[in-house]
Amino acid sequence: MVAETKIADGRPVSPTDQPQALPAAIARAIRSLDKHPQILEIDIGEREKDTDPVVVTLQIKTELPTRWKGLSPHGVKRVEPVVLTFPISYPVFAPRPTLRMDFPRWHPHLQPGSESEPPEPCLVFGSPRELIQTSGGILALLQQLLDWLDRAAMLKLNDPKHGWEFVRRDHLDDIVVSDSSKIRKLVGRKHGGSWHRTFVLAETNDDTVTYRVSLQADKKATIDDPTIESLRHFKKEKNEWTGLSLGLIAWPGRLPNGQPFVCDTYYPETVSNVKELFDRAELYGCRKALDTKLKWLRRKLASFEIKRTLPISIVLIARRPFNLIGQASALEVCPYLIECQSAEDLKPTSTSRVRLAGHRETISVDVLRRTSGSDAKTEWLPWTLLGSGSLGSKVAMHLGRAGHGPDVVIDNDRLEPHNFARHTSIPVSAELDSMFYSPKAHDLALDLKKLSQNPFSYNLDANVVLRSKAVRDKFKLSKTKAIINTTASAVLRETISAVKWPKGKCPRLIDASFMGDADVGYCAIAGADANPNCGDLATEFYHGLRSDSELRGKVMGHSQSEIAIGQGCSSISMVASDVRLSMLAAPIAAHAQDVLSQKSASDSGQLRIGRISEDGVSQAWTTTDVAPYTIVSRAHDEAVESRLARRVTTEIDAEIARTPGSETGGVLIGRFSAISNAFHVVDTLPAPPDSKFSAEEFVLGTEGLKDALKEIAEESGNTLYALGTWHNHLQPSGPSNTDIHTAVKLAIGQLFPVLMIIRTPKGFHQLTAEAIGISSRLPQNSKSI
Amino acid sequence: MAAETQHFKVDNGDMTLMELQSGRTILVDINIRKAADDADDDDDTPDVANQLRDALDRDSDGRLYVDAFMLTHPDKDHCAGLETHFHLGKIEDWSPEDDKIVIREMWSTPFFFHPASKDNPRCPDAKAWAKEAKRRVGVFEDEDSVEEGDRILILSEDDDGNTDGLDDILVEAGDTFSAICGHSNEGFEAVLLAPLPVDEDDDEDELQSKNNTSAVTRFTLAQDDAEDAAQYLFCGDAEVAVLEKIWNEYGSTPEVLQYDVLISPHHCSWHSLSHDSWSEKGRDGEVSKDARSALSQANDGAIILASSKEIEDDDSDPPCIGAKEEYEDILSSNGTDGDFRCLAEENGDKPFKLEITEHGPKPAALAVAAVMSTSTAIGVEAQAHGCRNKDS
Repeated sequence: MVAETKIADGRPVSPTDQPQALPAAIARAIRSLDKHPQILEIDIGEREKDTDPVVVTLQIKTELPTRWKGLSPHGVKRVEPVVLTFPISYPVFAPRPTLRMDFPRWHPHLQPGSESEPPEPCLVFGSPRELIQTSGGILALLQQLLDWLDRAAMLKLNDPKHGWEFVRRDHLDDIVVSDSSKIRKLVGRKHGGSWHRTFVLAETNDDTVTYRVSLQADKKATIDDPTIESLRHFKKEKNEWTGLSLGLIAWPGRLPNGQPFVCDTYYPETVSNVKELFDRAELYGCRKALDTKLKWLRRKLASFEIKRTLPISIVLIARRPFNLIGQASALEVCPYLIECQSAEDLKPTSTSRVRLAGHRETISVDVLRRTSGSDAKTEWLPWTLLGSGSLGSKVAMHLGRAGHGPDVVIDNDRLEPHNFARHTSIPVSAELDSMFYSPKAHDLALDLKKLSQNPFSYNLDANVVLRSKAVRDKFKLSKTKAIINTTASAVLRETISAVKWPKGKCPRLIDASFMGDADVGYCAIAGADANPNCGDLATEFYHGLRSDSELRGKVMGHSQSEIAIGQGCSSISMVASDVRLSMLAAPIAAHAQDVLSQKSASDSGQLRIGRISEDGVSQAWTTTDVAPYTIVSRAHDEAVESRLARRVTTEIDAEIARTPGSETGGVLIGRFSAISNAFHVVDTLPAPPDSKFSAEEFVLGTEGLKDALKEIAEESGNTLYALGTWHNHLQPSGPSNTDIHTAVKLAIGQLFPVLMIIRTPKGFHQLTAEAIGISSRLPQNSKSI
Repeated sequence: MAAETQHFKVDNGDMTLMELQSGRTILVDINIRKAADDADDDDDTPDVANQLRDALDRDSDGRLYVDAFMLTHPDKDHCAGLETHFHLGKIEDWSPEDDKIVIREMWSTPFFFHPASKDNPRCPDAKAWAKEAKRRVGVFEDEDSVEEGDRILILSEDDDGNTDGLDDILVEAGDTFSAICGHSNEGFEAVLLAPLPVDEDDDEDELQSKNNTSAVTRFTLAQDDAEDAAQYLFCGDAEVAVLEKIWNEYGSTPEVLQYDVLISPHHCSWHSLSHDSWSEKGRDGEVSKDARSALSQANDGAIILASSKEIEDDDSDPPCIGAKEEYEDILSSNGTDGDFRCLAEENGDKPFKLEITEHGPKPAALAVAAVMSTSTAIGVEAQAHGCRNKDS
């Protein structure tokens, strides 16, 4: 036998009691409610049918300040009856709470509704049924209800923590669409108003009409005869017409004491005619602006015959004491609409009807940024995207959806059918985009434009664009403060590394690509003033491969044999799904975001490497800081540049310290870039044991050196090799005859310039030599190392 | 910040933490019983030690502290746990391992000048308080300036002249004071109502019992623009003779006895209202008019709080059902429309909290979690399981 359970009024609620047994979930909820110490009594209403909702009246004890003696001056009583109407589908659908009919309706956070219905508190910013399901059942909803009553009693339903509640409107007639951030930008220190042209779409249905008004707040209109004459209806169709009209935005100024006019009292919407609109404007501190602006319009309209209704939008701005719910602003946008048929309708004493319009945001950068959690105070770097392929388009769209898309997009390729497997662009139609291959850069720019961003796009080879300042300026790169290269092109990487930026104008440079079977993400962030540059960082990456066989296995895997090893993957060479690419593209976009939002303000460079695990889902990213390289100055712009990693200069100085009173030296490891004409020296090899050391001379031996170099080549996938040698002079002297002689000998045996670094007490010096001509005709009396 | 008071659930005992608008904290009495010490202890006694620690701030040296600690009188149920939880002695001897609470300023009646005796025994915590109070008086006498951690305020003059020459740290009965650790404007004002000097007509033995040397103090807390947002009357364990004496002294200025919250004297004891014994005379006992008058100066909507066990309708005292009925009568007289509440009958283990508003103290609503945690029968009593059928 199931024990009968009784609630306060003694009525059974056991589901076994027929015929009016309560659904088990509702009975359970009522038991929980009964357990709460602030519930004094529960009454369960009679039901005629099993399908009827269960109406439960709770007598709730509120906790009020003692001196109010059980009645808040804001209308909340010591004991408040609250009705919870449970649908029998509970908890799939939540119970609806309602208050007593005479509960003050001027409180914020009441649902819009008719005066003939009991007021309904708005308890949750979101879904009550989700709250019940995830946050502790019916008691979670009860807690919201108790909080609501508590705040209502204390007149604190509007609080800074949650934000100011928007004016409640129990019905809406029309919609005004406008970018609120642009509206708010108009609001200055003084009160004022501005006229704007509006585009109106009217939908008629029998006797009623609904206006959808588009108001561009950043485009002001002058109220003069040409403007008035341009207002019209056109393109009438059966149930709708469009037209051009006007919208006014009016905002408050300051009080006589100089403080901003703040409307800190919550007033539900009561405006129904023009006179009441003026009264409302008074409450918001913008009556004067409304008056002045409408007066001028009335004067202009007076000489015109208004043949057809002119829907004039009026947007009042109320400045609240703190930010509105979900907004980063305390300025509330309150739109209305007047169907103007004569200038008389706009007089402050007019009783012509005012329609209530809801404000609807446009798709704007502001909305995207706000929704993405962008801090308005953060200054983002304007940036350029090189490469609008599968990675570039994803990075651009990730950032574009956050309102921070690129200002310039450069790509010389076109969207071919296979690109749609992974590019963010969607073809207009399978047939059309198969017939015409559109430039990738333009397609991406078009998508960003739909997100209210307007990048310049160029179907060009970025190598050409970067070549000189004049060309860069021509293609709108003069203002760019960051460049993200997603082309996976080693050539472009070297070109970027070779660019000579004007002093202090070097953008932050990011080189990003997929590697391996799209299971490795590569993101190199150059240091300040491009030191280390992208070429240095690539060399560091190769150096890292030597001690990371797992990564080397992925990057140098045999499936990559068709592309240049370790140079990143271009999409044509890679078979991988959009899912796989997106897994790495999002973190790369996050890294880019760090740089663009200046969150990672480090001056050093960084290598951020991500790897997807064997399970194909997990991934891990590592960040390695790379200190600026030591650049050994060159004699002239065309001369080869030497760039020494911190570990190289540190090791050279350590070796010199280990051999006091004697010259010493070793072998320089790295790579040579023909495009940037630079040596990237990433490591050293110690002098072989058969080397000779004395105060005047250092002779590099050979024992074991060949094998050591072979190992380096293998470990780095042939990306790193001997560039030349280093040695020191005990005196601050430059290259000696012996040095020059050796350099020439080495150059003959090397297919690119040879580098000789000389460390003296005063600094680093370089000596480079290169043999020009046909190898077989060069003297053969030297041995290459 | 909003001022608030927390009233810890310590059965028949007192323990109140007041946090002022300025952020200063005043602790009035403690009753941290051994069973309440340990959160791991399998005991239903609320872990008031940790509740207190959670409510306190740490200073720049990482020490938990109260700005002032007022001991109404040295009974065990008002000072239990002092040695275990509070740092006593020089501030430089505070150790992070022990992590005890620093008392920046002690507020004490002058009992500590006198040794414990057979007739007037003291528990170890009361002895420790007396020793520390003496140390602090010594510091005051010997040093040019007194630091926080060494400060003391003596509540009322000592009948034997021990407070002579200590005027700077003495508050006499009837005095108003509003400084904590020498700083004023902290958003509170207190008037010391008792102990009052013993007159010739008084029954000296009765008035000098521990309970009757309780400090009786009325605190006024400020909130926002209201300087008198909340008034609290603490009576310690004052019994009927003291309350009669208080009415005789202050009956002509009853406003000093006004309260929004009265911590009912001696844990809702009948002996604070009547000279008769509850167990002997029950409801036939006579209520002292003067004592009742002293406790009747309730502001509109006032709360009388019994810091006691649950109040049963029986012979027990304290807490006493007769006292509760008398208080309820006070709260329903003269349009007061107040509320009698017993801490043990408030839901959950957490302290009963009153938030100070410009319109008086407001009980803080109970969070749902507190209710949910009490909604299981598991752990309340043994629950039989198994394959054996229960005898029908």
